[in-house]
Amino acid sequence: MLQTDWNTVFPLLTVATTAGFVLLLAMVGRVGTLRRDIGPAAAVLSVLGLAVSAGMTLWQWFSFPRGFDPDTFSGLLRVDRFAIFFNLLLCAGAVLCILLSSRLTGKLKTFAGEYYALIVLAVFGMMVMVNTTDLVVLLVGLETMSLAVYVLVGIRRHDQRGSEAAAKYFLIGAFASGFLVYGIALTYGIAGSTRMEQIAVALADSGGMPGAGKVALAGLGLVLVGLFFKVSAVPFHMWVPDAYEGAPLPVTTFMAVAVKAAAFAVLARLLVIGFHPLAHHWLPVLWALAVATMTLGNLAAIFQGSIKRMLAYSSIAHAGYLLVALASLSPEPGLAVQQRVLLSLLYYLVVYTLMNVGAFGVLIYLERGGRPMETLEQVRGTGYGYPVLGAAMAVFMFSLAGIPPTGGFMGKFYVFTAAIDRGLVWLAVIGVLNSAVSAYYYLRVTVQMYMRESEKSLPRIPFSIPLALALTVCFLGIFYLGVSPAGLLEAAGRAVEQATGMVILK
Amino acid sequence: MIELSELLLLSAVLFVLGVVGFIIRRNILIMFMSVELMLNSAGLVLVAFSNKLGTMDPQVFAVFVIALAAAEAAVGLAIIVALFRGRESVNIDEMRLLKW
Amino acid sequence: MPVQVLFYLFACVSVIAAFLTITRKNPVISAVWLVVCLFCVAGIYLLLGAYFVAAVQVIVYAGAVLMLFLFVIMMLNLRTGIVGQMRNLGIKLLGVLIALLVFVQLRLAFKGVSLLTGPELSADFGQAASLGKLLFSEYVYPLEVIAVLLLVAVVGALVLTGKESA
Repeated sequence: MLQTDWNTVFPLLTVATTAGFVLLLAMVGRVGTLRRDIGPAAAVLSVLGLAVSAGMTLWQWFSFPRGFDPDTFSGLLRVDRFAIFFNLLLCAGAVLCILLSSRLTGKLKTFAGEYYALIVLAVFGMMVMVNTTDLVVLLVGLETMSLAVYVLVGIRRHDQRGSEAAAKYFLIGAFASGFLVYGIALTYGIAGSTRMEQIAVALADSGGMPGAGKVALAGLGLVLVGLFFKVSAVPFHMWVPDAYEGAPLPVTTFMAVAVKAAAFAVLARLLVIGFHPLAHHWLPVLWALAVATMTLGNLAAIFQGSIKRMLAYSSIAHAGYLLVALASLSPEPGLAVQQRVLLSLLYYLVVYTLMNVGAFGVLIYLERGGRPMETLEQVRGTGYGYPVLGAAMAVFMFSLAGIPPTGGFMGKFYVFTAAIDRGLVWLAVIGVLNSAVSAYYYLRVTVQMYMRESEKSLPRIPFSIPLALALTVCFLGIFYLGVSPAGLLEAAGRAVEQATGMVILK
Repeated sequence: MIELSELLLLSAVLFVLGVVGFIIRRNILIMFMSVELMLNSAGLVLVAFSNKLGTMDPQVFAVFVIALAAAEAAVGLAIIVALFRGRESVNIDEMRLLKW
Repeated sequence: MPVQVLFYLFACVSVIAAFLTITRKNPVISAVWLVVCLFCVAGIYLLLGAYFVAAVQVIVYAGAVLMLFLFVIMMLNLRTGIVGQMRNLGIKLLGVLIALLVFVQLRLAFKGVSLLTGPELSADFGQAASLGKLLFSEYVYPLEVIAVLLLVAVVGALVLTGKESA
């Protein structure tokens, strides 16, 4: 009989239940006589549910590993500190995105409740992804997340661009999961198991089955292609600008922040545990992809007139920096050598979440009366009209460009020093050069906002509490992480101690 | 006895046909059917290994994959219907609002 | 041996059907060929003793999913979008090239693969009962997640195509 420790599953269960209650609320809002806008109530309920889940996750962090059973459901659910770290990050990212959504759902009206429910369900899928070391569970979680996000992209049904973006994102996503599923199937065949630990053991001694080595490589390649689509590494990035541009801004934020964090979490786990014995094969691939992703993302971002599209390419470039972190993993087995690398990855993802939510948040705040604030022309002079927003945007842009004393600088610093420690000086140099290039287009936004007077007087923007709250959190967080990174570093350090689960690689 | 390598070869052929279809076709529906072919070939790999390793676990995964494909089809076709409401064609090149 | 003959028959038909699926101009005809392909794969599942999966393949995949495809195609009643949807020749060639590359890699990888032992299959191999036991014991967690996945699909389809109240 299965023994299930409810303390372990509680965070996941809370998130799923929250989605259910939000859906019920949406249904109640549609009942004839009660007909009313349930958007704000659904938002509050979703935030509460995610907060309860995050609170329980925080308890798990401090009572790990004695307070609960980290391995449950016959080992398919694995709650180690690495997973807990990402649970918290994903909950926080989702809450910030919900705060940014108040204006969008005001316009959606009918499906406002479903919008929040889908965000919460996507978070559920992500948590399933990061809370496991089993490939099949990973796949199911990833698919739950992806389906919810496809719908979110197309949620403005009357917007042609939104529907097209959803269609393209869906097609590419389905194509990618085709590769992933096939790769997982082949890997299962070689390892006889879908657990990453056992895959590692099977790959380490591939003598059991004639011709297994090549099949393992094929499986590795297919799984990686599937995941590279999700993290938007360069030859597999073509959907990003379209999907990011066509989606409503809060959804774009959600995709840039939470989806990417979850995808990198599983990619890191997969490379550090499951496919680690094949490190000699995937390391050069990662080097090439990291360089290509950084360079192409940054170069393309320069030529964008739309800030939304520019941020899409910038998120590709940032995926490149994160790939630099993964490319610095050591082919040596053993966790100690990987720790600095994973540490920098986790740190960077936290900073990346804050600065992206911030940058998109300012754009959402500037958007008023349905008039988009997406191109460089449209934001011209807004820095004078709205000094606080202008200053906030400047900080987020500085952070994205990696200028001290912001968190973005520390993030890049840790990633590149980790690369140098591994002897990949050239990779770090390319990364730094790329950061220098990126400064041009990030600062251009600030220049546009400040250096030119607006032609016409700007209308007053109504104050929005949730938006202001989200921006304040990001603003303070970026400075805090830039000035005193020690606290987060220590937490990330404790998280990566368990990145590989309970298994000690030989 | 059916040889494992023959089963894998068949699955590879189906998978690659799916990939080809996805790349060369511009009709969203047929591109999506190509993806179904890819998922289907993965199911074939799983069932083949189930038979050769003598365990039932991969069959469970195969059922999961079919469930994934069904859910994906529901959402994907809903997206196509929503998209088509505003236009006359499902040809991906006729999408001009966003660059490919 | 009849099993072998049947396997080759199913394999050939499925490959031909898959080829026709991706080359037909009319999506209705493509969908029908896809059904043929899925049926043949279900037949191979039967030969491999995976009876329940074969049934699911026919009922869910060939039955429900492909009917959904046909339903959508007919509902949309595409007039202009049906004909001539091929990419230009360059991309087509590139696509075929990439695919050939993938195929050659896979072919090389699969060449020497064989398992040392052909294990004796237990009596309840592939039966619904043994699969069900596995699903609801060891794999109950992914099963529950799939329940959520289906919820997402339902909500998503509703949001994208459902009626908007005023």
